[in-house]
Order: sequence, then C-alpha cells, then structure tokens
Amino acid sequence: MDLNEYRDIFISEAQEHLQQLNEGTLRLEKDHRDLEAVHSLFRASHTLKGMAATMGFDGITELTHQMESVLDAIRSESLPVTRPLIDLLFACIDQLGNQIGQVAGGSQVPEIPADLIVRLKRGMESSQEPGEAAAEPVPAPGAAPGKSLEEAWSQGKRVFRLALEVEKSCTFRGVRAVMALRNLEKVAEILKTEPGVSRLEAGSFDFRFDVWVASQEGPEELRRACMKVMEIADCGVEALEASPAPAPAGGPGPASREPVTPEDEIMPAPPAMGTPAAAPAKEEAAELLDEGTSSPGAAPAKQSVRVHVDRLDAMMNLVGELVTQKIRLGQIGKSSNLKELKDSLSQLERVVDELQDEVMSVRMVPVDHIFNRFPRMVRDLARDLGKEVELRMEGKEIECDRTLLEEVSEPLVHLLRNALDHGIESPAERRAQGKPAAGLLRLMASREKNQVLIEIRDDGRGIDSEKVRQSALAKGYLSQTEASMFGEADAVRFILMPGFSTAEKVTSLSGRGVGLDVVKTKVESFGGGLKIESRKGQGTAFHLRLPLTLAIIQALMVRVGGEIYAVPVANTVEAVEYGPADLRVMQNQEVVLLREQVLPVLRLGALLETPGGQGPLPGTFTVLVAETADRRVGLMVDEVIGQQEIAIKNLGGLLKGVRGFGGVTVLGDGRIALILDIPSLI
Amino acid sequence: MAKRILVVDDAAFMRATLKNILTGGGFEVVGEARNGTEAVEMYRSLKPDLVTMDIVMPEISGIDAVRTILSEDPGATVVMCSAMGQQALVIEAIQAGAKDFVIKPFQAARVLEAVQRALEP
Repeated sequence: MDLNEYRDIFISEAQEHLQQLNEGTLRLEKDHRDLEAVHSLFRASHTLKGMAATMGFDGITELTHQMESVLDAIRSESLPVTRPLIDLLFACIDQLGNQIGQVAGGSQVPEIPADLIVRLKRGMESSQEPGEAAAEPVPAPGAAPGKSLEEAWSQGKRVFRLALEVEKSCTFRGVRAVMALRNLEKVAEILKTEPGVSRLEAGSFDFRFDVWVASQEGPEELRRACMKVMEIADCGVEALEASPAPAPAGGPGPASREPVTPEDEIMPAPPAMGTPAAAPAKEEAAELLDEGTSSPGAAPAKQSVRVHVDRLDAMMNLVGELVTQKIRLGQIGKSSNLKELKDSLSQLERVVDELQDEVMSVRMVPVDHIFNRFPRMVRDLARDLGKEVELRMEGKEIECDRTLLEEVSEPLVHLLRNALDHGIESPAERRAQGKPAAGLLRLMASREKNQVLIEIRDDGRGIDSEKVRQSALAKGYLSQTEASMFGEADAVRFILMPGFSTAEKVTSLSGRGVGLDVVKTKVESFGGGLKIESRKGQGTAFHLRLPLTLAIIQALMVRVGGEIYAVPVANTVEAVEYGPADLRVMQNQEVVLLREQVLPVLRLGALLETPGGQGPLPGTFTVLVAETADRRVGLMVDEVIGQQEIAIKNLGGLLKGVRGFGGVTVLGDGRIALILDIPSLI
Repeated sequence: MAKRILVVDDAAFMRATLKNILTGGGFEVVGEARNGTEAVEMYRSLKPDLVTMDIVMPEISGIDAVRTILSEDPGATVVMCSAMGQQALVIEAIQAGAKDFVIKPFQAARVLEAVQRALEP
C-alpha cells in the first residue's frame, strides 16, 4: 500500500482531531469536571494514535499514546485536573500540530521532544493511587481481541453478519448500539463491528452498523436479542459461508460504505512557532457536500466527495469565462433578429446563472472554519498578557467564499490581538472602573445582502481621542483650528491613516492602532471595508464588511474618452447628471452639490491619464459617486454604460503593484477593461 | 399487582413529573430518593421492582449507586434518566448493568415503554 496516497487524508483528518483536542482542552480548562470533554479528548487522541500508527509516524503515535494514558487517568478520576496539567495538554497539542505541520510540508517528521513524554509520564506517576489506577474503564464488548472469521469457522461455529439500524430519531444511538452488543454477547461471540466499537460508543455512525458474530443460536434468536433494545428499528441477519471471506477479517478495514463525515479543512492547524512555511494551502482538499456545506453537528453524515481546492479554483475560472461569453452572446443576440437564437440564449443564460450559483455555493464554507481556532489563540494571549477575557462568537454558521475567508483570517487575528492587547484592561484596572474583571470580546458574523459582516467588539478602554488629537497636533497632521474641532470620529480616521498609526510614539500614547492601516488596506484590497466605532471607557468595535466572493462581482461599466473601465458596485452609491454650471471650485478642489452636500469631484480621465480623457470642461457630465469606508468622492466620467457582472482576472507580473487598479476583465466583445480599485484610487 | 418503582432524582420537579407519568401508566411509585446514598438505602428497605435513576446527583452519582445496588442485588432492574449530551455517562451506566435509559425532557410514552421493556423477563 502506498501510504503517500493517504497522506492528504491523514493530514486533513489529523487537523480535525487537533481542533477537537484544542476545543476539548479549552472546555476542560473552564470546567475541570467536564467529563464529556475528557471523553472527547480521549477519543480524539485515540483516533489520532491509530491513524499515526498506520502511517508509521512513531512520534505522533508515542505522544498520543501517552496523552491517552493521562486522559484515561483523568477519566477514571485517579488524576485530578490542574492548571499545570491543562498547560501540559496544550503543549502536547502544539507539539502534535507541529508534527502534523511537518508532515504536511513534506519534510522529515522530527523527534518528539523527550521532555514532553517525560512530563506526561511523571504527571501520571505523581498522582497514581495504587489500586485505583489501572481500572480499565470500559472493556467494551467486541473490543476484546476479536477472533477472525476464519478462526470461528475452523472451530465449527456459524458466523453471521447482522445489519442493524437504529431509528433515525434516536438521540443516543451510541447507547443503543452498546445495548444491542450487550444483548448479543449473551447469545453469541462478537467478532467485529463496522464501524469500530469506539465509534459505535461515540454514536458517530449513520443510523446503520454491522456486527459479525459467531454463535450456536439461529438467526431468529440473534435478531430477537437485538430487537429487544428500544429504538433498534431493524436487524437483518445473514449467515456467512466459510469459503472466500468477503468481509475484511480482523480490524476495521477501509470499508467502502463508511460515511465520510463533514470535515473542517480550510485552516491548517495553528502553525507552531518556527515551523518552516509548509504551504499547507496547496495540500488542502476541499469538500463537496450534496446540499451545500452544513454546520458540523449532530446531523448524520452526508454523502460527500473530497475535491482538491485547485480544482474548485479552476472551475471558478472556467465559470468566469463562461459568464463573459454568455454576456457576449447576449449582445450578439440582441442585435440579431433571430427569434430561435434569442430563445436559446435566454435558456443558456439561465443555465449559466445556475451553474455559477452552484459553483459559488460549493466554494462557500462557514466562517467557523477560521473562527474555531480563535478560542485557543485568545486564551493563550490573554494568559500571556495577564488579562481575563471571555470570547463570545456568534454567527459561526454564516458562509463565505473559502479563498476570501483565508484572506480575512490574518486581519481578524490582528484585530483580536489588538483588542486583547490594547482594548481590554487588566483585571485590576477593570475592577477599579466598576467593570467585571473579565473583559468581554465578541466576534460576530452576519450576512447582509451580498456581503458578510464581521464585527469584533470589546468592552475595554476604547480609543482615547484626546491623546490621538495631541499627537496628531504634535506631528503636524492637524492645524490648531482643526484640532479644536477634533472629535472621536476624527480620532478613528487618524489611527487608520498609514504612517500615523504605526508611529511609535503615538502607539504608546494612544495605546491603540498598531498597524490598523495595514488591516484596512488588506480588507479593502479584496473589496471589503473596515469601520471603527469607539467610546472612551466603554470599548471599541471593528466592523468588517466583506464581499461574498472574490471572483465574480457586479460592476458599473463607465466610459472615459475611448476607454471603458469597470467600477465595483460595492464601491458606488449613485450616478448623477450635472450641467457645466454645477461644477464649482472650493479650496482648489472641484466640487458639485449633491443634495446640498458638497461633494469633491475627480476627473477620472485626468486621474488615469486616459487618452482623449476629459478636456478642459465638458458640457453636461456624469458624476459617479464612489465610496470607501471613510470617504465619498465624485468621479467624473463621460458615460455610464450599465451594470453587469464581471469575472476578475488578477493583474500579474509587473502590473501587480500598480495602485488604482484591482484587475482586469474581458468584456463581451472581447475588449479588455481595467477594474478600478476605488480605495487606492481616491 | 402493580409493579413497584423507586424514583431517584435530586430535583423535586423531575421526581414529580416521573411519578405522574408512572402512576398514569399503572405503576406504583413506592419511594422517592434525592441522591445516590438515599437511593441505595431505600432500595434495601423497599425492594422495588424497578428503579429510575438520575445520573448526575450530589454525593454518590447515579452510576455509582447503580454499581452498589447491583452488587447487592444482581437482579435489580434500573433505568437511567439522562440529560442530553451525556451519552458517555449513559454508556458507562449500561456497562455497569443498567437495563435502559430515558432522556429528559421526559416523553410519557417513551418512559413507559422503557420501564415495561426493562421489566420483561
């Protein structure tokens, strides 16, 4: 067997178990008596151990084995849960993450640091109470060293395969399975189960499972034993003949019927410090679920297929091209008088639209894919900073394009760190202000039309606008008059300014705003926005606005001179016609009045140096009102052609860093239009 | 003669609910215990046909009570009462010898079916 073939699956599953380990340990830290958490930890390390052993990763096998012993001791209450023990568990999990990261990176798996193993063993010994300790907790039926089918036959026994079904409404299917096995044990010898006993106990099977038994009894008796158990809906009995054994003997083999559980793979495991860039993104596999992705939970596993992310990207690209051709054909159709062509075209349009929706929905994953690692991160950071924080996450099920989600992960980490570091005060400071000692950090995702909103809100000290004002004044960013009118909203605008916020002195003074401009730029680079709200002493909220997807957007097509440009609709408010008399000049800036508000106007042709762009002063002209998170500007264009969806092609090579452009798109008639990147343009 | 049942739960409300369901189903509730210790004592004195046993209780847990009762009377019939999310504990109880379980919030039909089945030879 070529194990490399299974490497990808191993990695993605291992990362899932790592996540489970992290979550379980966090739960255990909160409530030292959380037995469910211990069980889930035990199961996760047990499964991981089995997987690693199969793959021949001895380090991981050894470490998980030791973890299992510790967890088992906790489970049987011979080892008390203490803070050092929790830290030790976290250290092990990090080490596992490191190991798995190395596997993903294709490098040699390093040795597990010996001290970790030693600490685990020592942790065990110091607390072992003689007599109590070795109580093997659940000698589950069937887990007993199972005889192979051949052995049973050779002893002249009759072998049966029982296909059991629990009722779909059954809540604790694991218990029902165990009860059925117990009943069977009275009349038969259990050879093996599929899925394995540990999975049966955990209830992690669809509503069906198979049991192979050897028995002197007939099929009716076996069936009766199972059906005695409530909520067992059915039990099919099949007598197996001795000759060519179709069933895999012994351990659970790669059964074809085994359902693939929904998996969580977008995030590589929290990268351990110093791990060489393992480029795990390329190794990932994405998942196609038959009914969109669903939140992982109690729902029985759905039929699913693993598909490599690259393939999804390629599909998305092709759909983009298809959309372009659809639009082009539509234009040809309009100018022709062929009724049949038009009919066929409208069909084609509908199908392409549906296909686009489908492909997009396949790429959608719940934001939980990145949210789920934050509890651990926040916990570690809070500990390092000596702060108490409760992280509350909402809207984890909201879905978002996976590529985009990966992009936004880093800004989110930055904002969370920022909130912990600068926003939330130390417990003493909070108490002095009459706040609860533990700060509240909320991470909320919600969906609004074609956008996903993510809010990070803390109840910390907020931005000190006075300090920002003083600093801005000192740095010469503000005149005295401006400074006198300085308010909280201005402070927010200032800390987002490039350069200003990163200035060392301001940071230490304002206590806020390290590299926030970087976050803002990043978010805007993929068509999103960042807004900040802050109340001194009450907290700060960051509002991130994200498009649903990166690849296809709605854009307004505008003409300037002989060129056509695409402006993302997300950045536009409206288009307004003006006459020559409407254009005024205020403080060397051309402006128009829009509903009695002064709107600065930029001549797009001049700005982009478009050949044949706006000359001295046009006759009537059109102003496209463009908006970013904090600014609103009118763009003077010759004509607004219309709105359409465009597929974004990235600018490559030398053009990559050019400001003002977000990419190009191919128009229906084959011409190329540049996509304006409003935030960097205005 | 009506089968005699001992109800064990630390919450008076749950005991009342169960008693109501069981009496309605033609059973006789002969005693109510508030924790594992009381359960063991009352089992000895009352010798009921069946015990409904809550899992999470102060002092001795339901599972330990099951172990004690079964060690003294291997023929004892115990049905566990579990909240959602306690699958692992229920399995432990079943391994310890409990006959069946019901999940809170109780559905009368489910409770009665479980109790009747548990009492079948």
